Amino acid sequence: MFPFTRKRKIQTEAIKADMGADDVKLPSRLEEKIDLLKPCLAKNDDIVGRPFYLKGDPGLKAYVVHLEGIVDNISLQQDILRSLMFYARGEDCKEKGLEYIVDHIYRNCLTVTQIQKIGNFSEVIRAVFDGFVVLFFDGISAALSIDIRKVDRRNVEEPVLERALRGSKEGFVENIVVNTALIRRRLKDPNLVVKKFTVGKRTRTDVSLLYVEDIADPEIVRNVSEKLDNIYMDGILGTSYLEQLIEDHHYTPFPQFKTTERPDKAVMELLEGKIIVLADGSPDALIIPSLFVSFLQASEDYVERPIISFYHRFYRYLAFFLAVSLPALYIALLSFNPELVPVQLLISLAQGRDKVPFPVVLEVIIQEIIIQLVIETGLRLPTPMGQTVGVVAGIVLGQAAIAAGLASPAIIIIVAITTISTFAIPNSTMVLASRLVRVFMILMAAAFGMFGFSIGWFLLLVHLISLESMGVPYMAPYAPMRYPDFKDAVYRTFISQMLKRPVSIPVQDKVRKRREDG
Amino acid sequence: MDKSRFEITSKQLIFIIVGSEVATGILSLPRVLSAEAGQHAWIAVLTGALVPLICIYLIDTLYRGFDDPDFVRVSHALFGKALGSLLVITFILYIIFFQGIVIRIFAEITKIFLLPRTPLYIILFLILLPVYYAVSKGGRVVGRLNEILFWILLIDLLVLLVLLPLGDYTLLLPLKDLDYKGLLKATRESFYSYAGVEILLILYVMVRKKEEVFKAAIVGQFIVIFFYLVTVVIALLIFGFEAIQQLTWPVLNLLSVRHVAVLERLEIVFLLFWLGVGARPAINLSLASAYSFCRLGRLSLARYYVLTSMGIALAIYLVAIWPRDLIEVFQLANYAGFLFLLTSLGYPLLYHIAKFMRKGVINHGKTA
Amino acid sequence: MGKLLKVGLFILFCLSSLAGCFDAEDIENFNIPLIAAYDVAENREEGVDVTVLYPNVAQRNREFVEKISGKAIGDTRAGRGTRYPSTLLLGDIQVALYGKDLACQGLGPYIDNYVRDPRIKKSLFMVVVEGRGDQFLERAHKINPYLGFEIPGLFTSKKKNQFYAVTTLHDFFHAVNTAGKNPVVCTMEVLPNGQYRVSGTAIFKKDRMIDVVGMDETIPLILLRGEEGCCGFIPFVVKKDGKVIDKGTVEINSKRKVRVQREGEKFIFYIKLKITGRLVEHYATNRLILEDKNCIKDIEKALAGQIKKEGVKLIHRMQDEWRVDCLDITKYALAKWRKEIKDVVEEETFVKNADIRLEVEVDIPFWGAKN
Repeated sequence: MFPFTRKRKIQTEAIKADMGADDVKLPSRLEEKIDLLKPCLAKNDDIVGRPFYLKGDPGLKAYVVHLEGIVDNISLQQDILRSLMFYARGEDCKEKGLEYIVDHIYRNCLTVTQIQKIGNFSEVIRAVFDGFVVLFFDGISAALSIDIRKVDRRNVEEPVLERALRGSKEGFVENIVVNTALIRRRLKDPNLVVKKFTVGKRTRTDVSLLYVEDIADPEIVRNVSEKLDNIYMDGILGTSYLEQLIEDHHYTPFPQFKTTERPDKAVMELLEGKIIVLADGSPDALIIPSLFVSFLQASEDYVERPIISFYHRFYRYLAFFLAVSLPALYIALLSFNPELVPVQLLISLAQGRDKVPFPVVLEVIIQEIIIQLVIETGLRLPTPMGQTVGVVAGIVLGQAAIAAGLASPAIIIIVAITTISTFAIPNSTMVLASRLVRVFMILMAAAFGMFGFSIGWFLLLVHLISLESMGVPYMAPYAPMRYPDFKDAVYRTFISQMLKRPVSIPVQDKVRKRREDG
Repeated sequence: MDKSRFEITSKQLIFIIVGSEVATGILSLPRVLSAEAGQHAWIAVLTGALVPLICIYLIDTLYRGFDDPDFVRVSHALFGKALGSLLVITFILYIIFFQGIVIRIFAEITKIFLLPRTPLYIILFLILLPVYYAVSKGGRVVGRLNEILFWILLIDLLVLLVLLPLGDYTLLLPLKDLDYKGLLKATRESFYSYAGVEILLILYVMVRKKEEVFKAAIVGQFIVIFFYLVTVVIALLIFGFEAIQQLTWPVLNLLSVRHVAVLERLEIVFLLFWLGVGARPAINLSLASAYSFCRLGRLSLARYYVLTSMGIALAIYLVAIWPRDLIEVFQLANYAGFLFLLTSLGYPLLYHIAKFMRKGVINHGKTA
Repeated sequence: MGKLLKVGLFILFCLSSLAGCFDAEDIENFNIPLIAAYDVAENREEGVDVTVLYPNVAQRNREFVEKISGKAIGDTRAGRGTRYPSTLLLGDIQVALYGKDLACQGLGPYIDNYVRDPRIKKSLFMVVVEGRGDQFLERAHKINPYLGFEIPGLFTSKKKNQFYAVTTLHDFFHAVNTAGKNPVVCTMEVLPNGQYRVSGTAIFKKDRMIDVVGMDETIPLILLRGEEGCCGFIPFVVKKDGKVIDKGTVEINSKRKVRVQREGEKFIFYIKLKITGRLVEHYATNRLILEDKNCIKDIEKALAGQIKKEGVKLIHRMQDEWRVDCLDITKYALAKWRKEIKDVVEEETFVKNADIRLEVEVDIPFWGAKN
């Protein structure tokens, strides 16, 4: 169906062949090993190599290689070099053989936890560039790679895009280890599985798959794992790349996986049987699978009182409807079916438009373009400047346009309401989607009025229904109808009554809370 | 597109049956029925419903004996390659003809009420676009679509119920002195509105739980009957069977009787929602015919289904644009009503006879 | 191949969309008639004068009136088209006024264009004007800047406080086309100074007006017709031995029940009016808490007698003078013997020979009375 799938297959084969090419076993002599490494060392000035001797008589010659800046220097000095140079018992190797020493060092000398024995040159290269410390010993072909990476990271802060009035103020950071820990801390269940992947031929990004083993559907878990395994891209820069690579439908403006910046939200999704994908370098988690309704749900919904949440949720549905269709409705009503407008309003609208030289369609499109430009400008500018631009655009431009006879007062109101509604949608990707769909609706209404508008919504509905998120129907619980799920879609019921997990998401364990649990 | 894309649940079948039957027919139903049966038009709704009910029963019993109740497969097994294929093709042609009429009437209504100056061929294209788009997504999506659109039908029904207090009950009276001849004629006129149930012949194979098909189809049929009954009764209560004869689409006129604040024109609002109702039979039946066509030609669904559905949509377009004016369309709709009788009762009966006569062949087909 | 087709289809769709906008017409290009008046043509042999009231879009709060004469209603629209660039938006006509002469000729031909056009709402109000419609509009709009909203307001206001007929296009059409029904339409008049008011009711035989009754007779007419939700103020006078002992006003709400019996060819209609009311003013006693229950009884009795007297008078007039069923009671006979009497209900003798008996029951619940 998509032309690039075929190309990608060819590409993956090339990459595979590329990986296998220089897979040489490490020689045992240290000089030879260093010779092998030399081209690398010569090219990259941030790779540090240091020869030293293990304690003993005669001391065993050894060599340490690592990247500058990534490795925790104190740990390197204290836990590795110090222990090796002062406490390693080099003389034992005479009695027990050279190979013994690696095990010895591993067991008795190094006071760090993550050590791996590696034997191939390609593995050495990979380990060095992944940021591990690699140790070579003279006469021993095996090398040790030690993980004492320490990356300067941002503190855990309040999420920017998903701010909540009540509830946790912690947000994900760029470091995958911290993010995993943030989730673990909230979900202490031993059934929570963290599965690691390394994705991207060149970026070698760490990706983790998190799910609760006895809840999540094994079919989906297998599916996602397979898809992650089969990614052959050179660079993965965060979850958004993964999202695009594992989604089912490409020709759609709608996001098929939701991302969240909030660990508490991620845990909630895990408990509903969904899968969380974290990627190193991006401060958000991918939720697989996601439903359309979940894009209109916010984390406050579960914190605030249920009746209030129901009320708020209704507004979000309304916001989506208005964001998509208000300008289109304006066109359809004013230039196709004015009978539908109450007479008094009709006359005052006509009076407002009397001085405007453009047809309604053009008027709407001009305003739409202006507002899109204002939004784009505001996004990139620093906050205080962005606000100024917003005010200037909103008040001055609007007033001036009316005064100059370029726009009618009504269209300013329409565009303002539309823009406000757009940003009432809790998910930022859905905001972008709604902006695009709005243009489609405007065109449909401009050509065929109310009927075109109706056709536009029909097409949109069919499109949404035909989407699937990792095999789960996107529009569930509305199409297909899953009546038990209405309690968390149309409205939100009391948490004490959410006894079962959503039916829309396939899960193993359907029951959230058993009566006998109390 | 594999075969799992053509699976529907029995619950969805209810809504598909409803969606395939309720269409443009209902907008003129009160007039057509009361022209013959006077104030007893609503009885004709009930008597006319016997045909689809019998049809459902016959189809269900017909397929009971088969492991794979595929329409094309069964036709081949019972009638042989050539005759079986001919029967299937006739059925597909009937669907195309019928949906052409339905879409044409829908387009005419749209033209009169919403877009008087837009040429008909563009309106037809506009209606067939979502039809094609939905059909090309396969049976599962169409099933879901029917499910969600059913609620839109309910909105339209609620809109009608608003008018109930305006009605004058004397217009339905007296119940006695029933004119049997007129009722019979009205029953015949009602067939056009009930057409669509024969889709079960093809959809039967798609339903996941075969044992629930009968129940689901009957439930769907009763929803349709209820909906028609409410509509006809309300139209008669408001207009009476005499005034109604002056109105081409009484159900739409019905909605403009009362002034509603804010919405102003109820009938236009109704029509906007109507797209979800009026285009549905075309979606369902095109799906059925495109599927059968692929099965008939042993074409792989993955490669040719989308193309076939486009072809079907084009054929419907050509049929829809054929009639010269509305009178011709209504005449053709009358023929379509007869054809419905032929397909909904004639086909299952024919198959039953063949099944009875060739018992051995079925067993053979079972093992194959 | 499939992709190519898809792209092709999409392009085709875009082209058709771009070529579209067949129906696009921006609102400022519309003239929005709010009230239209129809009269017998003044200056030509046959034809119709159409007078239309528009709101003025360019100037706020102003309305203007325009009169065009033509062979038929459609012809006048063509005549309009030669003068103005803007198109007519017929969908928002609120009230149709018909001159008395035109109504006497029969309104059938003049509502046809309304019924036929799906864009015109069937809930527009019909009014017969005493005199000519053009005069009415021309005079009235001069001192009433919001005439286009005021006149429909007379009929849409939910809480009616007077009795007059509210007839929509649908009601009229329905009555004209249904056996045994005849419409009644409210009449309006305008004084030379521009003041306008509802003046009575026009009695129709099918689509042809046969008589006009004043406000006095309109009240029993509306009560007897049993119009849905009709309510209003009725003054009462209680007399005892020829002396007025009590006066006041009651706000009433009435319900009608009709029973019909048949004795051979004679039909007996029993009309029972059930009137409930509320005292609005009461002169005899200046105390809010009534001490004498009989006082209310007297009022009820007086009111019932008063309404019955007027009603019977109206029924006699109907049977002797108009000989059409303007009380909407034939339908009850039809509901029982539709087949047999279908053909005779339209004949004058049917109403003339019918025996119509009226019974009025008034109930004024009072609160605060001492037991």
